Formats: sequence, C-alpha cells, structure tokens
Amino acid sequence: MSLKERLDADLLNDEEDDEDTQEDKFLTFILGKEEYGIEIRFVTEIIGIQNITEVPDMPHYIKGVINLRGKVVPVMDVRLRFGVKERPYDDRTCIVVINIDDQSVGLIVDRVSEVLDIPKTEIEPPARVKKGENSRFIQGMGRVGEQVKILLNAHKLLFDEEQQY
Amino acid sequence: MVNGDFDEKLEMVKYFVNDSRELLDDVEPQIIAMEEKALSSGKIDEEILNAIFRLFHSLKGSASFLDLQTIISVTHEAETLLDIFRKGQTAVEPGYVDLLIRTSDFIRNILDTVERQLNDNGYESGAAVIIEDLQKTIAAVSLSQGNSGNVEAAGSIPSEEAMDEPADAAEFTISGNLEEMSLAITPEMTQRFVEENLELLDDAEKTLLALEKEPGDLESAGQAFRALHSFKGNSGFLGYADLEELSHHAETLLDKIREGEKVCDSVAISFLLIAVDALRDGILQINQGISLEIPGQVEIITHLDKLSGDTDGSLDKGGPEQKCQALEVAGGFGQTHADEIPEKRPDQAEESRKPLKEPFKEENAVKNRGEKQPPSGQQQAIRVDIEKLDKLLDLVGELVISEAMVANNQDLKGLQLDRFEKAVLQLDKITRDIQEVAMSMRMIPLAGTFRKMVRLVRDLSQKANKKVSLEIIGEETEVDKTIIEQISDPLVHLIRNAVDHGLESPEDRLAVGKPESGRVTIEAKHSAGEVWIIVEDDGRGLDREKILKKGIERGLIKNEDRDFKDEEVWRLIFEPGFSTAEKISNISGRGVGMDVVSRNIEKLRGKVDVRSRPGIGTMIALRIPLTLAIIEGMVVRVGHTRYTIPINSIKESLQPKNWQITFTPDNLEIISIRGELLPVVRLHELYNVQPDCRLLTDGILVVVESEEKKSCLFVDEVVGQQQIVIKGLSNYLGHVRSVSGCAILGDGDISMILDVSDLINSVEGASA
Repeated sequence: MSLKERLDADLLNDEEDDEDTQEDKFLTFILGKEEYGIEIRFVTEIIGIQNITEVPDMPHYIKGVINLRGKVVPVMDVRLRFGVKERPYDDRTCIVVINIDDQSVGLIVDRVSEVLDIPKTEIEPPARVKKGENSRFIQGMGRVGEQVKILLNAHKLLFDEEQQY
Repeated sequence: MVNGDFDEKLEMVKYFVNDSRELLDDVEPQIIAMEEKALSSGKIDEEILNAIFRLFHSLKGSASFLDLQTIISVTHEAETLLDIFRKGQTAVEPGYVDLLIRTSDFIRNILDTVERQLNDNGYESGAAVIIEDLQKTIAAVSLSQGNSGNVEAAGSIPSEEAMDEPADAAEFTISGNLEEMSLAITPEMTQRFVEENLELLDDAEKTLLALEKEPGDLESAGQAFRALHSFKGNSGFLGYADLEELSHHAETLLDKIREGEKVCDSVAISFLLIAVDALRDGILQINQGISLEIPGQVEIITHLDKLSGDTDGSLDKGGPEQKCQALEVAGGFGQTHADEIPEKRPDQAEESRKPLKEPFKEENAVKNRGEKQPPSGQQQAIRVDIEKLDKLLDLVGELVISEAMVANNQDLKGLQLDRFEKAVLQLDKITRDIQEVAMSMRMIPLAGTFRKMVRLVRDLSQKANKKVSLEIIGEETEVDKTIIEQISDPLVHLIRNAVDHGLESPEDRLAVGKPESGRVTIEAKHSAGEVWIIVEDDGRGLDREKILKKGIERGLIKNEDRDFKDEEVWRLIFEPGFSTAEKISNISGRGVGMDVVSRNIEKLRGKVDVRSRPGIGTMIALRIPLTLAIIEGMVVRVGHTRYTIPINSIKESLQPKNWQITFTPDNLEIISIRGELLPVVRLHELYNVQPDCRLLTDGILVVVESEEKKSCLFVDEVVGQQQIVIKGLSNYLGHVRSVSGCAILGDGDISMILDVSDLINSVEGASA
C-alpha cells in the first residue's frame, strides 16, 4: 500500500512543521461515493484495519477499541456515524487516527485518497438544505477543479451528540 | 542579591520553597509537642524548643539568601520569642503556641506566593500584624520574667535592621547548651546534611573548573558562591564551625571575584579548589563518624584571605548579603561584635572547636547504633525528576506487555521449545524484578502526611472543645507517590469525623467512665500486597439505628423486616450527602467527607472497612493495593471477547453440576457451593455477546468476591493468568458499566478489566 506509506511519511514530516504550513491542507478519504476531507492538523496517523475489541454500552457507531502500540484508542465507523449502510471491512479499509483536545480517536473509512491544498477562497459554506441532520458535521464544501470535497468538522464529528437520538 | 538569570532563580526559589515547606511541616508537630509537654509538665521542653528555634533559624537563613524580607522579619521575631522562652522559665500559654502556629501558617502562605511570583511582595501588612503580635507577646513574656534587658533588645529591633543584630543567633549557637542541641540532631539529619553538602561541593567544584576555563564568566562565580553559601548555612545549622569558617573565607573570595573586584586567576581557583577538597574531607569525616579535623585549615584560610585582598574580609561592607554573612559568622563565634571578628577569628575558632567535638562523638554513637555504615565518599541518594520515574513505570508496563507477547506468541503454539521456555522463564523473573524496583523507587514514607494530622487534631480538638491525644503508628510505612496524593483528603475527613462525631465531650466521657481525653490512632502497615491505613477512635461508635433510619428515609435501603448486616448499614455512611448530624457544625456534618473517602480510595482500587461498636469506638481501615499500574489478572473468554478479572477478587472457579443449580421463581440462577448460595451473572447477557455455552454445566463459573459479597460469573473458558498492565479506557468513551479499565493481552488484543465490586452490586440491585 504505497499510498499509505507515502501519506505516513508526509504526516510525520508535517508534525515538525509549523501550524502555518498545515493550514488549508486536508486529508481526503472516500466513503461510498463521496469524498470527504478533514483538516490535516488533527490527523496523527493512518493505519490499516485492526482487530477491534468491542466495548459494551456504546453508541452503534463506536465499534470498540484498538491497541495502537500500547495505547488504547476508540474507533468510530464514520459510515455508521453518517447513517450510511455498514459494509464489511477489506484490505483497503483504513483507520484515520485523529487527535482533538488530547483525545485520540480512530475513524474507520472505506479508503484514504490524498492530501490536498484547499485554500479558503475555494471553500463554500455548507448548503443550507433542510433535510439531513448529518449536515452538522460539515464545515464547508471544498472545490478542487471540477470536483467537490465535503470538508468535515472534526470536533463535531467526535463530540456532537445532541441530535443523534 | 541573586544576579543569576531567570531560570536559575526559578530553580533556586523552587528548592527554597520546597525546603521551607518541609521545615514548616517539621516545625508544626514540634510546636504542638511543646505545648503538650508544657501542659503536662508545666515546663517547656528545651530540646523541642531548640529544635523549633533551629527550624525557624534555618528558614530565616535561606530566606535571607533570596532576600525575602517579609519572611526574614517574621521569622526573626518568632526566633526572638523562642529565645526568650529558652532563657526563662516561662510557662507556655496556648496563646503563644497559637501565635507560633499562625506565624508558620503565614509563612506557608507567603511561600505559595513566592513560588508563583518569585518574591514575597504583598504580604507586608500581614507581616506587620504578626510582627506586632509577636513583639507584644515578647514584651509581655519578658516583663513577666522581669528581664527588662530582653525587652529592649527584642522589642525595639525594627525588622530590617534585625539582621545587623547578631546577639540572638550568636547566643543560640554558643550559649545555648551544645550537649542538648546535638542530641536533637538525628542520624537522618546528618545523613541528609552529608548528601546535600557533597552535592553542593560537587557543584562548586564543577563551576570553579568552568570559571578557570573562562575567567570572565561571572555567572559561574556567582553559582559557586551560592553553592558555598548554602554549604556554609547548612554547616552552621548543624554546628560544624570549622566547615562554616572555611567555607566563609572561600565564599568571601568568590564574592570578590563575582563582583569583579578581584581578577580570577588560576592561583585563586587552585586555592578555592583546595578549600573545596578540604571541605569535602571534612564532610566525609562526618559521614564516617570520625571527629572533624580539617588539615591545613589555617593555612588555607590565610591564603584565601590574602587573595581576597584584605584580611578584613568583606564584613565591613554594606549590602544585605554581607550583613547576613556577618550574622552567620558571628553566630559561629559567639557573642563577638561583628566588627571585632576578623582579628579574633583564629583563637575564637580554636575555642569553639573544642566544645564542638564532644557532640560529634555523641552523634557517632547514635549513628553506629543504626544499621550499617555507608561506605565513605559514596553518594547514598540522588534526586530524580518524578517525571522520569513515571516514564520508567510506563516503560516497565510496556515491557511486561511485550514479555507476555513473546512468551505467549501464537507462532510458537504447539512447538516443543525447552530452551526457549527456560529463557522465557528467566525473562519473566527479570521483568518482575525490574517492575518491583521501579515501583519501590516511587515509594515514599507516610510520615509527612501523618504529621500534618497532628496539627489537624490539635485545631479540631480546640474547635470542638474536646481533649484528644493522637497516636501515630507506622509512619515509616512506604507507599506509592500516587497513594500519598490521594490519601491526604480522606485522612483529613476521617480524622474530622473521629474527633467531631466519634469522640464524646470530656463530660460525657467521664460520665461513662472513660478517660477524659479521647484517643485517636492513625496506623499504617503492610499486609499481603496491600497497605492498610487505619483511623481508630475510642469514642461513642456509629449509631446503627440512626444510620439505618436515615438510610430508609432516603430510600438507600429497603425497609425490610429483617436483620441488616453491620456492613450493609455502615456502607450507607459512604453515600454522597449522607449525614445523620442534626446540625451542621463548622467541622463536619454535611455528608461530603465519607463520599470523598470512598471515591479517592476507589480511585486507588482500594477498599474501606468499617468496624464500630457502640460505646467502644470506631475503626475505619483503608485497604489500598500496593501496586497501582500492574496487577495479576485472570483472563476469561466469552465467545470472541476476553475479559480480565483481578486475581485478588477471585475465590475459585468450577464447572457446576446439575444438582448445584437452582432456579428461583424470578428465573434467577442460584448455585450452591458448600452450603453457600450464590447468584450467577451471565457475562454474555450482561455485555450482550454471543457465547459458546449457554448451559451452565457446559461452561465455567468463576466465584468472585468483593466487600464480603460473592457472585459467580458465567464464562465459556478460563484462558489463563497473566500480569496485567491497567490502562484507562479512553475518556472519549466515558464510564463503561462494570469495567474498571482495559488490559493489553499477550497477542496484542485488548481485554476489558471487570470491576468486580460494581458487578456484584449491580446484580444485587437487579435482584432486589
């Protein structure tokens, strides 16, 4: 999986960099047909799917915990978080480990695609459509050439629960 | 006077604050002990008085080093007061003791500020009040002694100029009788003195060598100066006049260099190094218990003085640090006036050396009685950053996991590997040893925590108008640093309860034929992998009926017509907000305390045992496991999921026979084991997983116990026992029902650690 290795290398370097150089950079991943982006400053690493230990009494989108080099990291299936149909994990399934407020959480995604520069001028606020409460996870729509990436608000993705049930 | 850069000052202030806090921690119990003795015998115990005096004195010394005027002036007045006590036969009244304690509290407050803002500004008015009170007391006491001379000396000294007046300190060192003083110097103090001073000398030597390379580096000179200055202070404190004198002369020379008044050449450095070596010899002599003799002391001093440029030393110069040097030097030489010192120095030193040798022998005798003589010149302890210890413990945890990963590696399953197994056994042993050592490095005696309680008991007994004697047993018991941090609050609450609720008023006690003064005991001991901290009182005991009534009132316990076990009743007092007190006193009664106790102890995975008998007293034992991070665990399997059960809560495991199983009408399963009827908890139902076995007779029952209640956990299989490193379940997930954390297993998978007491209680709740 050369892409993943490359990304890993990139990310390692990025950790040393200033916040400035991380700005406007998004890691994009694929979920079903859509491509999503998440701010790279939150991402600490990307790993393949691992053995997940179930944890009782969790919302359905929390699949359990994994052992990340001795650290216990909870993992969330982003498909389930968005209410998209679950699909079996395969060898392209990835866990994107993000770190917000000192909390490490793994995001299970179909596959990781690339790191993109999306300047602020190319980002539009999320469309104000009534339907779908999942829009609360969206920070904006990023234009990259002809394509549109859905940029996620990582904080809301992790912590926003108000309207879930 | 500190002209070092900010970081260095920060470092010094940190040391100062820490040391001073320790001194205050020491001083408080002493003051209280003095009061007790004074009350019982009507006389002030001179030994204790001297000890208190010394503590204040060294506080003043280190404060003057950092130029903290408020602390200096306050401690000075306290010293003066103590000095009068020491001279006269004054009876100590409680008011005086309160004043001293207030002083120590005040200094403690200042220390907090010093720690934050690096100076003691903002306390001037508070200091003025305390100083005034101290001076009033001084005047009153002196008058009552009819010693008008002292009133003048003490009462009229304005605090700033106080430093110029060496009389008190001088009398302290020399005229205060030395025999008695040296008795109060414990072998531990000497040991600490030796360690600290060797460190200081090493520091001085290092900086001197740096100075030699770069003679213009005034910063190094300053650092060496400070090291020697602290050395001097320490030596003076324990009465080693030779060391004090020699270090003073070296210090004077360094001061000149530091101020740029003297060129720093290799000759100067050489002599300074010789002086440092001589000082080190002296310290080593003390360490070995040989009487102190510094070879060539006089010559070294002469050379140092010659290099300093004038035989007068720096004593006739102004500036606060010189003044304080003058004070300390004068302290070493008797009642000489500061300006006479230079001329008289050699003979004075000669004189003072003689009486000082006697105490040394005393001290050696004490020391020889101690266990073993440390080899000379070897450092017995080093300071280590606590972060490093934490990190080490983390790494040991990782090591334990990796060891299990190697030993239980899937790739080796079913292979015949004799030599490998042997090697693994060896690895296992070493890993455990390392773990033990790493744990022991974080162990601290409980003495510090316990001593704070002396003060607490005193304050409480006054507030509650009760007579209390506190007994402390086993304060040398060592526990993990984390336990110390968590144990302090619970102890305070337990003692408050014991004094406020437990003990009766003196009249009531006399009425029931108990001694007027109540007894509270704090005891610590190790017992089977646990540390027990026991708080016991001989008061009226818990009121079972009242607690039960309140418990039923609040719906914490069902009003059933049956006999409740004592444990069931006592557990109620740990409920948040539970209090039987009709009125809330300012000491206790809000029902918060015991909740804090159980919470903090729970955090340490400990247990609280309560025993109480009406009219006889109450005993509360905190039982805390010694190791916090690594435990022995039993891994069990239910379907695909593996759970870990702490081994100390497992009683046995068995495969039940049909005849042992009974179904209640509520469809609860009960197992009969040797006449005991135990409820069954099906883990697969609790956690909603797919099990292999559904029939009880197919699987395994693990009998677990917590707080003297038992249950059977139904699992598919017992996988095996292993060392478990406890890891918190991510905060992100919050609390999980009956899970206390998770463990990483040998194959890298994660397993939940079951919280047995929570499990058992939840079963009870469900069945009730």
